[in-house]
Amino acid sequence: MRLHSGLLFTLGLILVGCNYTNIKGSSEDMNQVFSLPADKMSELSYGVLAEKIFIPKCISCHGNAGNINFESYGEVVRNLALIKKTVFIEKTMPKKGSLSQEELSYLWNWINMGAPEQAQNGNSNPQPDPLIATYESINKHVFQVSCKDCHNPTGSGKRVPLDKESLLNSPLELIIPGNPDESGLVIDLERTDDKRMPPAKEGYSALSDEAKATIRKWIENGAKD
Amino acid sequence: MKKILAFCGVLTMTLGITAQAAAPTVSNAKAIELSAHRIDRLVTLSKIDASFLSKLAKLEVTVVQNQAPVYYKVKVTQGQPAQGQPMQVDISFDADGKPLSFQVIAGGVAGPDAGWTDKDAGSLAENALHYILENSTAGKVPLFDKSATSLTLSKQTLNGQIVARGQVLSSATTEKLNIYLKLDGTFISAEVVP
Repeated sequence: MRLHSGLLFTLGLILVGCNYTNIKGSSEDMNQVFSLPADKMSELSYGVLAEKIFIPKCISCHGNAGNINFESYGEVVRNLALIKKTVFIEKTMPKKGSLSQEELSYLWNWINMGAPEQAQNGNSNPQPDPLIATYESINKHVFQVSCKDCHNPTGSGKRVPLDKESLLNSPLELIIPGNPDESGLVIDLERTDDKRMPPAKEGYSALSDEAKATIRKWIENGAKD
Repeated sequence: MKKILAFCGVLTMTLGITAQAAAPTVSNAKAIELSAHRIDRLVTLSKIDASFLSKLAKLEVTVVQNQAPVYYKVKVTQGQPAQGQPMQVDISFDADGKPLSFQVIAGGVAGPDAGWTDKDAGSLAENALHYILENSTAGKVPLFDKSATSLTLSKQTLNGQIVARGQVLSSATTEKLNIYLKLDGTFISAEVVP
């Protein structure tokens, strides 16, 4: 009996040791795989990560949909362990799309540095290009962030392309220049039933009030620019 | 001068005929699908009675002649009420599927409640038509795309399950296309029947 217990204890120690070596080893491997030059490391800040990763790759679901809200630095920091686990260990995030080697490197190193809000090189966070009432700006800040998962040539929303010409000529009257109230795009973004876009049932956040107001303004102005 | 006037006259007539005969860029099935979307829009904007969305039972498309720019007229009909005529609305589209006008036919009575629990009748009709639009080159489906004449929505039982059935008729065949959906609008199956 004593022999059995001793054997089990020894076996347990070996297993724990192996596991520790494995995690430690893989962490070191990861540091190599995701290494960044020193100048890039010193640039890392929440603003950089938001611009490169959180906004384009995460916000469509991790906005106001009720999950972790990646628009908030505090909430991101509170969930760093979960982010690390789901992106680097389980590789289950992002659910829609994937991160490039460069994006993974930025994220890995930023988390390992303790997720600084400000860059070490003293540079202030990049000033984001503001959302304004032009198609180009709306496409960049809204459609490419919140809609492109489905509204692309092979996605489930392929019948409703969101390029400017298609929007203006759609038989669904998505844009009626000068009349946002009757424009299908505005109606679909502002409605609160199960036909809202982006679709809540698929985990997507509603657009922010700022995004909806900017689209309204663009249509009100004639949807020309 | 007479020759110039005659030439202008011929040119005008030719252009008129050409314009009228312009090939449509959307199919009959697409025109019906656009009508389902249009019903949703008109209800959302409170321009027609909300019962058109929940109690819609049939959409019939007609290609009209000599009424340019109108190319398609779609009659949307609610389920048959216990008494009187069902509520109907006519929607006109051009050859590109752009909505031009709508007219509620006077004197109609709202249909019975079909009891669509998850999705409204308009969305179910729309989803059934998506099957045709997504498979418009497969098997016999093209017959029901270009030459569709109507879609009738009804509740049916399929393998012991209550489902929505969109039955599509076509002027190109006497066969019928049955499209089965779950009540949440998810596609189940489709079959062409005699």
